Amino acid sequence: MPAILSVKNISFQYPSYPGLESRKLFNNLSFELEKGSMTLLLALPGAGKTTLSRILTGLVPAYTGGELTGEIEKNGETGIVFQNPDEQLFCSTAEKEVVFPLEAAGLPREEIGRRADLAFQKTGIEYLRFKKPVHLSGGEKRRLLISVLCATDPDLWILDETLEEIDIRGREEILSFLRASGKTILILTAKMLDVYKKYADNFLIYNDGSLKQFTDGASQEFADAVRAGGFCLDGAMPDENAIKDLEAATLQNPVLKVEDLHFSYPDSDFSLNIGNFALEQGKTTAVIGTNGCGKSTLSHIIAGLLKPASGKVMLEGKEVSAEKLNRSCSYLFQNPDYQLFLPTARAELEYGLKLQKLSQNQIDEKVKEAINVFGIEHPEEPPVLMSYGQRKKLQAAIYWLLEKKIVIIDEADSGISSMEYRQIIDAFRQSPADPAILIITHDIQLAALEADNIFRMGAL
Amino acid sequence: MRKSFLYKADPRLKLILMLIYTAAFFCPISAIRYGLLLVPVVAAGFITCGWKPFLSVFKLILPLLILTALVTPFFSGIHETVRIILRFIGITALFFLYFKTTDPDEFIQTLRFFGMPYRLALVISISTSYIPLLLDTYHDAEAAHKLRYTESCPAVSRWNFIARFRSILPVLASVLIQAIKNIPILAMALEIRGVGKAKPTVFRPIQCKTPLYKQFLLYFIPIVAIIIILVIYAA
Repeated sequence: MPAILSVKNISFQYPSYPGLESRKLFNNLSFELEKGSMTLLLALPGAGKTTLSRILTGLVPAYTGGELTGEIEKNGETGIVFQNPDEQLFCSTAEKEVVFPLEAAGLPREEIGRRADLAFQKTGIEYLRFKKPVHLSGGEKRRLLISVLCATDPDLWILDETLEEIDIRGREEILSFLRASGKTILILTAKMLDVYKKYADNFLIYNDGSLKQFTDGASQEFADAVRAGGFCLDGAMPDENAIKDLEAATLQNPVLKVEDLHFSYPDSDFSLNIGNFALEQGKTTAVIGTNGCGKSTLSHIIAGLLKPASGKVMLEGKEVSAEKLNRSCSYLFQNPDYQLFLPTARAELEYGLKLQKLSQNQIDEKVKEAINVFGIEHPEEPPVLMSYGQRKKLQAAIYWLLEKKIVIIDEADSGISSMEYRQIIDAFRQSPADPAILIITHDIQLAALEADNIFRMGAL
Repeated sequence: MRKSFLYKADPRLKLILMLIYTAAFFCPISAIRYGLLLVPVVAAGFITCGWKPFLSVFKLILPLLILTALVTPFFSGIHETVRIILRFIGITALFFLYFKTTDPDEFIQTLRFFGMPYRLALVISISTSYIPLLLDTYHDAEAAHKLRYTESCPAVSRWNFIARFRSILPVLASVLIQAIKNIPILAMALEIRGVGKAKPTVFRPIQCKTPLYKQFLLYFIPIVAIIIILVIYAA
């Protein structure tokens, strides 16, 4: 098979800033992708996966500056799905997102219609066609971006941590469709999901500056390398019976309880109806479910960020105001950037403690501990220049310092390794505040390892 | 609510009407006539969005209106102050209603219909659709910042405007950082969608159920007539 992409000895360095020297990435990285292959490139967060994906698409260094050395030879067009889907969606409806590149390419109307229909059908999101992308869940946005690739039909498809936030059935459907498409697929990820073994035929592990290639995903050698690199979790999948319906969450002493909850968004046919749900102090609860079933909406209501149309949200047995819920809940968002605004990571960590009017000595002590627990590598660095994974860890450290009663971790695992994600959850579990933890995830194995109770919303 | 007549109106006619209306708000006519000009706009706003959502639009320009009401009387008198305030309200309502009821894709087609190059039309359309996106980002950032307070943080009184203003600054800083970061990323997103590689086509051209001539007669001529009467009669 001829190579569709050939990368020879590439190295890259972003521009440096005064007092902030950028490090060199890749160090003479070389690999080839055969036409029609599906390659999984595993690398830890911060290793440069997103940078590599953008170099291969010709966006870096064109838009970022920096020095790229080595050779890249491409035999065909390249399409990409960004790690953060919000960065790539800018149209008013899902259909327009799909149609936009086809219009830009000057295709006739009939052809655009045919390709759009096919793209929505193949990715199984016809029902989202006329919805606003901003109203879609993280997983739905990623499916939409795959539809865009499907419609534009490039020769090489690059997926930058795309499948992590898609539900289990969705991953299987998408990988099966990608495999059948006959296109060359490059999946960049920090997590080895079991489903990849079934579909990928080329496995690359990039660790400590060196690249190892495996052709058999089922081999022991590959499994050992995955485990040694920290790309998977050690632990068995949970028993089917261990996963209960959400409504079964009746606990003896719940710190938080919701009853007869109803919520719907304006201009949307989505509605959330929950009869009963509870969180217990010191316990970890995982909620799993399909994309768009309302997991994040439920979390937002618990945190007092959305007001239900009807129903009760009770904290320690009492109905409380939204502000009280805000002050009692930590919420690790999918996007960590919404709350970062200060010039250094240390200042971000100190901010919440300053609001509590603690002394500078107390603040220094607590911040030092948080830096150690969460492995914040460069606390004097501006958060804006930190990697996505580092910003996620910073967000977790900020909340950990606040010691609130409830911690919600909402699919916050993209951009960080499974091990790091577990470390974050464990840090909250061992927090002196002994909080009730709610994990929203698609990773059943993680749920089994970390949660005391696992609940499902909708079908799996 | 979404199906008010403004949504169904031809975006090209709406654009011309909005520009004529905007020009009328700069004509040297009395405050009473400005008020009369405002009546159809306000009525359209209430029909399109409902009372509360329409009035909430003016919350955004409330500081500007208060500042104008406090400062301008000393320099230009009460009458001129009222005129300026009505002008702000009128223009804000006009632009809000236009962009609320016009699909960004149809807006690009409208600009291209009037001869604007595709790239420029795209830039203007993305810039205008970026405003609601920034508003969404603001709400997300506001939510994230609310959660940085704990039960031990001193409560802020509703009437402590200085403290409330100070609490907005971190949210604005986060939104600004997001917006600046998004500039090159949006450029990347456009490039990988192939903008500028070929002469673009249109998948869904502007289609109105009511023929253009009927729309012209039903609302365009009557509204332009009202504007002309109010402006020329004054002259």
